[in-house]
Amino acid sequence: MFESSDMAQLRFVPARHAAPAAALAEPLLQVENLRVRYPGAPEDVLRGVGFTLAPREFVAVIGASGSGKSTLLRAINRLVEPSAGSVRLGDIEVTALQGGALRRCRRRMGMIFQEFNLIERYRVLDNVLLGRVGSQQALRALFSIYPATMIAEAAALLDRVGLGAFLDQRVDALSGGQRQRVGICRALFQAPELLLVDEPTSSLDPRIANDIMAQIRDLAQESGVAALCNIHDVALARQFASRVIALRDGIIVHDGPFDELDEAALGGIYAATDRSRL
Amino acid sequence: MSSTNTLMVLQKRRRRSLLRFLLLLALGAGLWLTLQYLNVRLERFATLFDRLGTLLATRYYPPDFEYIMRPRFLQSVLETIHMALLATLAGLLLAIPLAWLAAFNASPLPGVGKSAARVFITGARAIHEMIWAIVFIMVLGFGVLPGVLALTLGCIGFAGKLFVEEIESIDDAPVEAMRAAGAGPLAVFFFGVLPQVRTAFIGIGIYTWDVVFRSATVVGFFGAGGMGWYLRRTADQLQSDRVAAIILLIAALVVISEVISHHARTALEGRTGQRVLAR
Repeated sequence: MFESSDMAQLRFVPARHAAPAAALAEPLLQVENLRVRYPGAPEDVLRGVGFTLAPREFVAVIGASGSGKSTLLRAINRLVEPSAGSVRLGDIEVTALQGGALRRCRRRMGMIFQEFNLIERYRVLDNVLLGRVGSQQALRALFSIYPATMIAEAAALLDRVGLGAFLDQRVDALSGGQRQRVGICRALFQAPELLLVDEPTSSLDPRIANDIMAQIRDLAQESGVAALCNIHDVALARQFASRVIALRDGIIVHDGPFDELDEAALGGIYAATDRSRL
Repeated sequence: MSSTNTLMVLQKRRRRSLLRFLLLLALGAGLWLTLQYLNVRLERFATLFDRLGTLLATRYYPPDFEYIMRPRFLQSVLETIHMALLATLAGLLLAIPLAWLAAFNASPLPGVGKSAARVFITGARAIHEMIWAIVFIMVLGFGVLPGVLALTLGCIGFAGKLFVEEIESIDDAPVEAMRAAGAGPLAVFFFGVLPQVRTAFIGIGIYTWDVVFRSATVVGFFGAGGMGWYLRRTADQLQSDRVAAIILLIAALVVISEVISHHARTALEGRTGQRVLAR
């Protein structure tokens, strides 16, 4: 059963972009009336956000700086605590989880970060293997005791993104684009059902940004993983996402295909942000 | 709106300037009051070096080096080194988890656990090793064990505080990545925190060894093992030539220890520096 607010969000997804009916009947991710207020902040960063995401769907989240895009992703996997609302992954209520149950749920959601968030002192292969650190014993991982099949799997993933020759290289010796590829591999190595991608190309030049976005989309499709991707660059969102969620001042102002957004609408999304939120 | 803000900023700046001036004035007044309270007569400094020179030349020279070459004394020197080594290792191994518990940004037990760890580290630091040595001697009797325990607590207090500060200044990004991957608290510490502070921890560990070794040479003064006991006995018996030899030996050992520590630190920093340049 959906509440009326869910149905209101769902109607933005047009038939030609919609996921299969079975997938719509059982969305992978359901976000309802999500609110986040940081401690000491005068107002909510997210103000009643709600949407659903079907399995295998690739959705871009756009909006100006301070609109709440990063907070949205972090509230979904509870890196940031929601102050109200609901997040469901499959049949699990994420907002109700604590301790080990929350950690197990997080393992189903891979995250790719704007600043890569890699362990700089570690080698490329070790960083990717850390994608499964949650399901490994910490002491085994500390002494790099991984099953050979797991190492082979990580190596194959790195080879897929063109980093096969860098397995034993320290991450701090890599370029920005290469680091982000390591970040992508780490997230996918988790074998997640959902990828949360937070502005993956902001620190990269346009040519590399394009390659990185293409790799994220292709790998997500190959792995059958749904992705919710914050993108600051509207052109990239238009190029790679079938559906766009636009946030302004913590509220969804558009949820649907990019084609429905004209210049005026885009101008509204990016120009009217409350400057005190930046 | 803008002019009101500017006015507020100007008022704040004026208040800060006045506060700085008042603080400087209070510092000067405090210094003068302290000198008055302690009745320090600065003119006595003029004769200090003359009297010290006379004392050293007549009573402490020549040092009795034969005394410090005796097997029983050399055994106490070895005992001192072992005490320092054991206390440093034990202290550092205990200080690391305590610092993790105490750090506000990484503690796996942010409530009572964090407060308890902070109190323990602060308590260990607040009381000097010599006082701890006296306390443990009263409980355990004379010997090496009270000395090692006192030095271990001193090590926890000293290194623990520095470890906490290092952990509290880490970049949160790798920690966030580990949490997002569903890692447990231990894994978050091992892979999100430890790689960022490892070099600093090794440097602090080497420096802690210096501090603990210096303290180990004197905890024996109260009967807590090591060469300090010989220092006290010879001083009590006014055998100044032997006291001089022991003090010179302590100074030499501390210098040797610091030279080794310096080389270890330089090697460590050199390695890190090369990596930074290679990026």
